[in-house]
This record gives sequence, structure tokens and C-alpha cells, in this order.
Amino acid sequence: MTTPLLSRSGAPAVKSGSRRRRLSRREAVLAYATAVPAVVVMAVLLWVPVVSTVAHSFTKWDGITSTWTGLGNYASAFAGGQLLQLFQTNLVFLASIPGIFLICIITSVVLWERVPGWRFFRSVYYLPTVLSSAVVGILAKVLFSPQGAVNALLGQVGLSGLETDWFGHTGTAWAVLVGAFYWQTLGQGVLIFLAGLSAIPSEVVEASQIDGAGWWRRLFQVILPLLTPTVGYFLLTNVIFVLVDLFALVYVTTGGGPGGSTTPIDFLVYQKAFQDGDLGSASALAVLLLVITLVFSSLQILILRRVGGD
Amino acid sequence: MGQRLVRVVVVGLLSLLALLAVYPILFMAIGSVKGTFEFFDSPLALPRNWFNFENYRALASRFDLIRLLGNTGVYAGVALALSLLLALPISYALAKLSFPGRRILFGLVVGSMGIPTIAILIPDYLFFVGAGFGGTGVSVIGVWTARSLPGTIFLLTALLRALPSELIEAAKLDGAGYLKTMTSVVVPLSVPGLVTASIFSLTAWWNDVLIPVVFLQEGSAQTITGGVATLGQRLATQDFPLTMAGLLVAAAAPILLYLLLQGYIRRGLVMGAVK
Amino acid sequence: MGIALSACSGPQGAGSAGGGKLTGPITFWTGYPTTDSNDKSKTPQQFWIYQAAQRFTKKTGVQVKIEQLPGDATMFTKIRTAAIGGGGPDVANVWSGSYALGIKSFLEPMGQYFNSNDMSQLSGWAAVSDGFDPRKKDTLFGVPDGTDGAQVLMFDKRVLAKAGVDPSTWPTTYDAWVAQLDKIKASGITPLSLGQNALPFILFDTWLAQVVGGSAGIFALSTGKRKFSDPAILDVAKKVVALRPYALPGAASTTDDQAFQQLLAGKAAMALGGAGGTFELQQRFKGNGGLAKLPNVAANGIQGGTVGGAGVAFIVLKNSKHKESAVAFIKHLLSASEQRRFAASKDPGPLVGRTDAKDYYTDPLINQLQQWSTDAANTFWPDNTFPADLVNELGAQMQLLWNGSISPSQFLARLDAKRDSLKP
Repeated sequence: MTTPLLSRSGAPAVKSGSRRRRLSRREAVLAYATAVPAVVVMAVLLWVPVVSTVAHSFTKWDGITSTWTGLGNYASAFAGGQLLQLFQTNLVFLASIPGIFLICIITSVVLWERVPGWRFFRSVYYLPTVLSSAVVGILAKVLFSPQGAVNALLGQVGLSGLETDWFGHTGTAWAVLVGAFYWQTLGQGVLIFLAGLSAIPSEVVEASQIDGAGWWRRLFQVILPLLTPTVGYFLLTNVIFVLVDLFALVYVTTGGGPGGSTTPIDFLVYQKAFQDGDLGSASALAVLLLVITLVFSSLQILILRRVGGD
Repeated sequence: MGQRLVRVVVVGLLSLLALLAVYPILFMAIGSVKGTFEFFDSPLALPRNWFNFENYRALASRFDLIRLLGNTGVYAGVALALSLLLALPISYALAKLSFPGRRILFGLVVGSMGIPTIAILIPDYLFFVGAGFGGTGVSVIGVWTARSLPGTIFLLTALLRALPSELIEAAKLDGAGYLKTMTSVVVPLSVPGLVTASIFSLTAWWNDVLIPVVFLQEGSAQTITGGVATLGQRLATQDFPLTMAGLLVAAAAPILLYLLLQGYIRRGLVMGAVK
Repeated sequence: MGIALSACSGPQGAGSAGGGKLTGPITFWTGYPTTDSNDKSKTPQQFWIYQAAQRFTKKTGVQVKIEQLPGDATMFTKIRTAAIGGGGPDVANVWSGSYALGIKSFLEPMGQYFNSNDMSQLSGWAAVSDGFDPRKKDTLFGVPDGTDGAQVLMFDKRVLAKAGVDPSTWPTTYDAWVAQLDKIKASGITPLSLGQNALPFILFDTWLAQVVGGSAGIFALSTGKRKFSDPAILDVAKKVVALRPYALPGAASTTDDQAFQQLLAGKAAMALGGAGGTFELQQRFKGNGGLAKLPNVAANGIQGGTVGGAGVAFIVLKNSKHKESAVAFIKHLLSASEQRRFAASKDPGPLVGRTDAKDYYTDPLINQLQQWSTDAANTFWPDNTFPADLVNELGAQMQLLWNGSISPSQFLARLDAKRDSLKP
């Protein structure tokens, strides 16, 4: 309240302080004005929908009318300890991540150390990565169909005992799905690990061109620690992927079968909503997934923050 | 001697892995020029006639592939332009301007990165239907844009923070207003970030099945990936070679783009991962 | 606009009344196949369904936009998704019975558009009636689209002859039939090609219908009054699984189209099917196609029992802004002149279900199928009778049963559990 008086008094220091304040107010106005469009879009299409999904998860909802049912939808999701079963397919994929990680890291290090033509391999390995999951999934469906190429190949090389109805058993259906996931992820892994390796001072890598047990020890004790940000990035993007993005692959490959046993959680939400018309239960499952992914993505942010230098 | 043997074994294994990576793509190409019953006779054999294009002709008379590709291009192009135009100003504000509530806003953006599509799917669907855009590309563009905003803003903010403020101050001293500062200093300096964000968004949209399958019910509005997932799946129950032809056409665009733009794509992707 | 129309001609007159102005364009979602693996140069426009739509446009000025529907139960997911959003097709043809009734809250009741004369021209109205009683006109949620005939074994007579099997004396008991399968297998060809729907909904359901005494028993099962865990049904489940050594591998995850193509490709001697494949069978085997009923599974069951009937129906959505045009389009497609053209086109699809359909077909196999489907021994599709969730469970559990992941008694117990979990 005294500021106007003081500024009118003409003391330079105070005047400049006021100008700074005015400037900073102008800066704030500018900031708000330029942030508003993006905020509006996110509010309307992300934040309000999340709130709506959470609210509707406590109701029976057909898209038009909803009636309050309290925790009913959650109760049936948790009933009989079937929560793990709901997330079963996601967990199988989660458990498969160390495997593809090892394949990628070993391939990358070997390429980097010993193969002059590594650029060629990198390009070839990356080809499947550019195909969409839908294409990869249908291709897997054709290759592994009962009369498909894989069974034919097994028959021709005298392993007809291994011929099987790949999509008729839960275990083999998962194997095909995880195989398709590996096939698409190899290129990504090799690409970023090679980039990570190229950032490591070459003396460190070349200092010890050792074979055998020493090689493995060096991989885990010297190289991996140097690649920590890259490894973290690879693991977390893939963890998030197997939690929220399996729909495309499973939708086209197994359709969730056999007997609904390969249905990931996002596909299940889709089925509950649009096959059964039970939007309330679908919302409750979506909220469970939301909570889980928020936990994982806050981890991701911690790591990305280091990358971003904040 | 031992060293050389190791190298031979290693290169052999890597080549086998390379074969595994490309064989299914070759299988797709070979299968697409086979007849339906020829495929059943032996799925692994080479085609009897390499120039049997009946599947491609059948495909062309059934699906307007050009239209599906065009739809995808338009939706992705508009969504990309929108998301960059919306993201850059707010990222600049978060990185370089000080205003009350900045930390909260940044926190909200960061938190939004973890929202799975499935958690917003139903309300967004009903929103666009209510707004009169049900079944149209507008709804897909809207959701795609909104989904990619948090990640894009996060990436650009991190990048802009690292920009030396002196450059911006210098422009201001030269009398440049906000717009001029943005176009002459901020945008040129954020090109690598924009490229990376674009690659991430485009990859996600190219792969997307859920949003097109739910939001677009009519074939004429469908994206190519949505089309593959629905029509392709229907075909796969009837005719494998015809399906292979369809998959190959759908895969051709990204493979060509990748081969042409390899360098950019690689640099863009790697930027997010290594630093 | 519905009111304006009824003022001048009444709802029943829609489409036939010369002065009625039909509005459009209408969207038609259909599962009629428009691919021919024998002749891939055939474009969709060369199939009857497209041409019939064009003739409708010519007659009425209403454009028809044709959209492909998935060929499996996900057709309903697609329709429901669109309908929740207030959209969807004006008219569609979908699986009838409980499948279509599962989305009845989105469907326009059809009774008001069809008078008893219209209705008497078509068979199969029970299949589109809630409660399967077509006399109650307010329960009609669709229009029956032809008939699938009876579901039977299909084969190439020459292949059977090579195996020393004479199709004219067909075994009527399960054991005799299995002996025949042994003979075929010994000749070096796999006897059966089965698909993932044929397995539960033709093979298992045919014998199920036989042992529970037809529709009444199927109803009792679907309401839970009767249990699946029953010695006679257990015997059926066991007999189904016992066929596994005689079938091409992977039946539980082979689509039915693929399974049928295996027969056409000469990879197996027999496949299951009805109306859909008969023309293709005759075309591919140059008139040597043959049909035979599945054997009787029990001495006290329905002898010669089959399943089939009006498995497909037209529906009109409540969301449609052009309901009169949609109904007129259905009437146009099912009219005598269009159905004659359809019969002559030999396109895949259901058989003509008009009550005057005696002389539509010249092929003796088709006429045989038609006749079997009207026999008292034929039971309306059990899967179109069971509640949709139970059908899903039956399909899913059959996959596990066939592949040996669960035992026949577990299979039946799970069906009972599912049935009991459904709210009345």
C-alpha cells in the first residue's frame, strides 16, 4: 500500500524494483497466455476424462445413465484374489523384459567390439521395429497358424514332435506374443545401446579385450554401470509399454485366447466396455491400471530428469 | 587362432539373428505372390510364379489403401502440427519465464505422461460424440494431440532449460518481441528437440490400434494401422496370401521412410536415451 | 419423417408405396463374404449383395454405403461401440438369436414394419424374437435372413471312394462312423478338418441337442434348469475329444474359413458346414461334393438330429435417422426377385429362407440341406439360443478341452459355473 507513494517519490532503487515487479507481472501474464492453449487441451481431453473415469468407476454405467454402486466394481475386481489373474498377461511380459534386455546388451557389446560391419547389422535389426504392432501381430498369426510356416519348418527339419497348436495353449500363445515383442524390440535396444557405448571413452572398452569369464565380468562390472542412463531408459520404456500398450499386438494376434487367458489389462477394459457394455467395471479396471502406471512413470521421470539435466 | 574362431562364431550368431529379423518380412513378400491353395500346399516353398499379382489386384479392388494411407498422413500431420504449436509456447514458459504456479503446472504435465490411453478412452469417446465429431478424423487428431502433449512438453522444457539465457536476452535487447524471439532464437535452437518429439509422437500414432478401432467405425475414415487390425484380421481368417499382400503394402511406407531417413531417426531416438 | 410417412402409407407400406419418400443415404454393415479364393479377380461389385444394393438405389434413389463387418462375434463389439456413441449402421446383418438380442437396447423393434402377410413369406422369425416366440410382435428385434440349412459333413466323393468308403451307405452310429474314420485315415488322408467354431457350435452342439432332446432341452440348459454336468453330456464331450486323432492339428485355433479351405485344398477328407460352403464345394470338386449327417451319438437321443436354421438376421438401429429406408432395403433384399438372383449367383451366404423357396435351387445338395433343415430332427442353433456370455465360455473352454488342458468333466463344470454366475 505504500508502494505507490514511494515510487512517486522517485527513489531510483525502489523505482527499478517496481519496474522489475511490473516486468515480472508482464512475464507472468505472458506465461499464462502462452500456456493456456495447451493447458485447455490437456484439461479437456486428459484431466477431466481421468476424473470422469475415476468417478464412473464407482457406478454402473452404460454411456448415458450411471447409477452409484460404491465400491462394487472394485470388489468384483479384487474378489477371490483374481487381481493377479487380471494382470497375468502383463506380468508375463514384464517377466520377459530381462531376457530381451540381455539379448540386446550382449548383441550390442559384441557388435561394438568385434564386428567391423556393425552399422549394417544395426540397420537390419531395426527393420522389424519400424513395422506397426498390428502388422507384426498378424504376421505372427500367419506364421504360427496350425498349417503355417513354423510348423511346416519343424516338420521339414525332422522336429515334427515340436509341431503344436501355438494359439491353442496358453503357454505357447504367450511364447508367440513375447517372441513378437522381442522381434520388435531388438532393433530399439541395439540402437540405443550402441549409441550409449559410443559415448563411453574407447580406452575403457578397449582396455580389456578379454574372452571367457573375464568378458562377462567386465560386461557387468565395467560396461553396464557406464551405461546406466541408457539401461534405465530401455527398461522403463519397455516396462511402461508392457503395462499400457499391449492392446494392438494381442488384439490382432490371439484376440485374447485361448479361453481369454492372454488378455492384457487394456484389452480387458476394452472388452468390458464395448463387448459387454459394462462401462463402470471397465472404468474401475482402468483406474487400477492408472495407479500402477503412475507409480512406474514417476520412476521413469526420476531417471529422465537426470537425463534432462534438471 | 582362438580369437579368429571366436570372431567367426560371433559373426555367425549375429547373422543368424539378422536372418531371424528379416525372414518374416521376406516370408511376407514371398507369400504375397502365391495362390491361396498353393500356400496351403507348402507355406515355405518359393512361389511358382514370382509375378503373380492377383493378390495385389484383389486388394486394390477391396480396400482403398491410398485413402487409408492418406487418412493416416492427414491425421498424423495435423496432430503433429497442433502438438508442436501447442507445446512449444508452454515449454518456453515453463523453462524460461517465471510465474506463480510454475512448479504445479510442470508437475501436472509430468504426471500426465503416465496416463494410459485406456483410462481416458471412454470419456474422450463420449466427448467427441457429444461434440458432433463421432466417427471422424477430428476425434482421432484430438486424442492423439492430447496424448502426445505431456511428453512433448517435458522434452522441450528440458531442452529449453539447457539453452543459454544470454541468447534470449540478447535478442530482447535488440528489441525483439515475444514472437520475434520465438521465431528467430527459440525455434531454431529447439530443432533437435522438435525432431525427437516428432519421431516419438509419429511412432506412437503409427502403432496405434486402440483409438482408431474405437473412434473410427467406418472404413473410409480408418487409418492404415486400424485398417490392418480390423480388415486385415478379417482377411487373415479367409486368405493368407491376400493378407500377406495387405501387410506388405502397410509395411512398405515405414520401411521406405526408415531407409531414407535412417540418420535423422536414429539421432532423434538416441537423444531421448543417451545423455 | 417417420410420422409423415405413416400418415400417407402406414409403416407397413414403407418401400412399396409409390408416393413414400425414402430418405438416405443408409449405411449397411454386412458379413456377406466378398472374396472368392477360386477367383481373386472377382471384385466386390461382382457379388450379389453389392448389385442388389445398386438396384435398390436405382429403384428408390437412396444410396447404400456398404461396410464390412467382422465374421466373428466381434461384429457385435463393433456395433455396440458405434451405438454407445450414438452412431452405427442404419441396417446390418448379424448372427441371430441371443447374439443379436444381446444388443437389443440399441435395436429398433421390427414388428411394426411387417404385417402378417410379410411375415408369412419368410421363415425363421423365432430366431429374432426375444423369448423365441414370434407371435408376440413387440418382441421382434430383427428380420431373419435366410437359413443356414442343416450343419453336416461335407466331402469330395472321389476322395472317400479312394479310401474305400461308399457315401451312399453312411454310418448312423458313432462307433460305426469312427470305424469309417479309421478306414479313411488308413488310406493316408486326414479324415477331418475342423474349425474353432465348428468344434463347439456344430460338432458338440449337434450331439448336445441330440441327447437333451432338441430345443426344449437346450432351453432348459440355457436357463440353468438343467445342468451340463450330466452323464449323457459327459459322454458327448468325451466323444468329441476322442475325434482329435482324426482331425488336422490345431482345430481349436483354426478359423472356420481356413478349416473349410483345407478340405477344398485336399488336406482332409471331410469338414463341417452348412449353406455357406456348398457352392464352393461343388465348384471346387466339379460336382463331386457330398453331404452326410453326423452320426447318432446315443441310442435314446434324437435320431438323425442336426443343428442349423436362421442363424443370420437383419437389424435396424434405433440411432438410425432413416429407419423407413433401412426397412425398405431389408424388404428389397428379401424380395422374391432379389432372392432368385441371389440363388442364381451362387455367392456364399445363407440359403434362401423364403417360404416359397421350393424351386430356387437346382443343385440337389442344396435341396437336400434345405430339406434337412426343415425336418423335426433339426434343432435351432444352440449357440444362438444360449446367453451370449455362456456362448463365449463354451467357445473358450472348448479350445482348452480340445487341446487337453482340461478334462471333459471340468469342461462341463465350468459351463455350469458360468451359467450359474449369470444374473437372470
